[in-house]
Amino acid sequence: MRTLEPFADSKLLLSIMKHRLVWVMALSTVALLPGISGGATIKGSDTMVVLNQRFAEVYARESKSPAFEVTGGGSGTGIAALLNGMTEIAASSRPIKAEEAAQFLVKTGGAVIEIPVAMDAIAIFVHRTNELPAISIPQLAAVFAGKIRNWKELGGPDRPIVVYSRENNSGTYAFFKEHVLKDADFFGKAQTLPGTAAVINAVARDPTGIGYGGIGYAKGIRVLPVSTKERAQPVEPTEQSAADGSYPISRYLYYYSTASAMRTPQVGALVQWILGDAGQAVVNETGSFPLPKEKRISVTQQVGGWVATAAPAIPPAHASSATASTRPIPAPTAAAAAAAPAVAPTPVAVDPLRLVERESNVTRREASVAEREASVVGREMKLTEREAALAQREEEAMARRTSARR
Amino acid sequence: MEAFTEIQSGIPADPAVRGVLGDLLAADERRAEQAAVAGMRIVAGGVVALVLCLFLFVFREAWPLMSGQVTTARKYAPVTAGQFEGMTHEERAKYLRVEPARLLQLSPEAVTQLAALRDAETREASSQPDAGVNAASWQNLLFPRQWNGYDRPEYIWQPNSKTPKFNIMPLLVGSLRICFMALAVALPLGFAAALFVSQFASPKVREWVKPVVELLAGCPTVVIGFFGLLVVASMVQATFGLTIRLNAFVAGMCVALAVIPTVFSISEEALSGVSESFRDAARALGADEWQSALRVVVPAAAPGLMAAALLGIGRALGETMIAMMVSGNAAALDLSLFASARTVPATIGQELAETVIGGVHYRVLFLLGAMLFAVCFVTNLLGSWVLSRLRAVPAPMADPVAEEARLAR
Repeated sequence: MRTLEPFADSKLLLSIMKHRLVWVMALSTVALLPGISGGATIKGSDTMVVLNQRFAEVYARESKSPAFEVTGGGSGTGIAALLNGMTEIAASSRPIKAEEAAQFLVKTGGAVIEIPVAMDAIAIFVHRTNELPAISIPQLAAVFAGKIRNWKELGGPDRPIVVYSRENNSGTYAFFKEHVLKDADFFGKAQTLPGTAAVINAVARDPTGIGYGGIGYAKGIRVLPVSTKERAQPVEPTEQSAADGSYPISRYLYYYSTASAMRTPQVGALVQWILGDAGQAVVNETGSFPLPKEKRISVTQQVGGWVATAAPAIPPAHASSATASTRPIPAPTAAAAAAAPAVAPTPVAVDPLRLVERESNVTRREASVAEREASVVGREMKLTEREAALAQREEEAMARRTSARR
Repeated sequence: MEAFTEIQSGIPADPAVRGVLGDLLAADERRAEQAAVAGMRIVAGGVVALVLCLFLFVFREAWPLMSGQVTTARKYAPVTAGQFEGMTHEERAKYLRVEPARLLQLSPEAVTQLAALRDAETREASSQPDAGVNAASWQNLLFPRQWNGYDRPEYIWQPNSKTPKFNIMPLLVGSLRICFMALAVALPLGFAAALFVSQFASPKVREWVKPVVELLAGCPTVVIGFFGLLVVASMVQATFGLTIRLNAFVAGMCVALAVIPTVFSISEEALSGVSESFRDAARALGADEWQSALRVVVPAAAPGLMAAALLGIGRALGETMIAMMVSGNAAALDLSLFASARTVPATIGQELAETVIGGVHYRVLFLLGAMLFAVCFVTNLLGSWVLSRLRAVPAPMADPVAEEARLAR
């Protein structure tokens, strides 16, 4: 697995330090926002911190625009920050909960916008010397619920199992709990560590340890193949197996944002770039998996109108009827479509059956694009005006200050 | 007015009394001083008010839980579209859990979506086997309960479960275990180092050792935590052959690193503060250095040492970052020092950022905060009581000067 980080320890330090820094950063972000033009932030998932940083870095270089500020803290923290208006984009490694979506409605009056940006497989980490060939989902559930406590019961040597888990504000924790433990409680004696990098670090030093986390972090440990049932064929987590759903614990990584933030050229353009080939190449670099092309285009289409998306067709492991039915799927509003900046659909090979439908979409969209472009120009003019006014005010202030000094 | 000025500046207002000093001070200098004193008074008052506000805030946030107004019990009562239409505005607001005024501002589509979300939410929550149980009652906060899916009554802290479980005992015991371990290491080391530096070390050694130990106090706890995570944990595991690498023992040792400077500085000050005449008297009676230090100086400085220990307890109980990084944070009730532990402050630090403000989890965390507050308050109260008792009892060797004066009379 390729990762850009030189070694896991620096990630660990980062992930730990940020817990205290999160508040400081959040506060300073709020304090600085009016001062710096375009100081937009991406906040949330620890799993996605490296991915977000790479997105921000590469995008800033390619587009010559001000860089996004990236902080972690956990998916729950990111969504809470979005709710409180403290970030433009919340990165989350789990779908938003019904309760959070409801709060969002109450607070902003609009639906939250969901954009899958990458795929990720949750890998099962063990020590490098661990020779267990594979593990099944029921076994995993038993281990992480504390029902199996010795490697012997899995066919390994007679050694106790030390279970490493994540804090409960982690999206990875929530996903694992829902899809592996089937909502049962984690083992009380499971050690909860801050960040996937911390889990990796602990497992790498512990021959009896087992942990889980995003595939992008897998380094210095062994990744166990996983099978859905006791006798089924174990599957390695790869891009292919994650995309076709044969690896049982794969998921989407999401961005959540508001309609008003998405309408700003900065945030909208970043999301569009991420969903394009350049952005998805960055995903590949960080060790997560790019979105399958057909998912990408359907997302782009829906994002074109800036409405909340239902999660695109999901491999069976993701489909939890509970979350799927609670997903808000509002109708696209004309106003939102008109106000949004232009998004060109990514040209890819398409399914012929959907072509007709899409063509009509395209015509409609082109019309709205023209409209939108006009509004963008208008907005830009307004901006120049405002900047001129600002400059003038500053000059006045300077003059006043110098006269006061005299 | 004159009297006021006198109080304000501390300078006698009567010119005759004021004399040379008054003449030396120009009028506006005096005014500046008065302003400074008034400013300090305001700032000091502000600080006291701030502490009081903090105290009140923590207790206010925890109060609904303490008084049993909060419940996690859910019962699903489906509301059909027809029923919803028939509701009054207030009933709707209550059902959707929105302020009535806010509900008026929401678009019809938003209200429809919100109703669907609330419906899904309550249905989901009430479909759990233990949905009718109030996990936030005192009974369930403090005593074990046999939850669905468990074989026996247990103390369980699982705040993010579909059926949240908020038993705080594992956290309290975890905090106490780490605090105990930290004090077991820090107090002997801190006292011994202070005794050495204040009584036995040559001035040159003292010049070096004191700042170096105190430098440890300036070391960011995250650095100590990182050191503990990578170095101390591995060393302890290799030495004792432990299965669980991150445990209360390791965490206690690392927290001790943060506690030692506190204990050291205060006890060193107390020991150095003992009058030289005490030691001289002891030596005159034939005691050697060791005897005079242990039998005379240490008892005389006992109140100071007590204060050092109490502040050490406060530091150990409140330490967040190190405990969070090194203890393993497993919230299981376990009395062993070699098992993983989750402390109260680490739990607050990790979980508060993602709770819903005003929710049950939020209130439970504030209850923990209030408890931490209360414990520190009681420890300090107890400490000052012990201190006053120690001072009231005449020391075996009272102040020699006073003694001499008494005898002369």
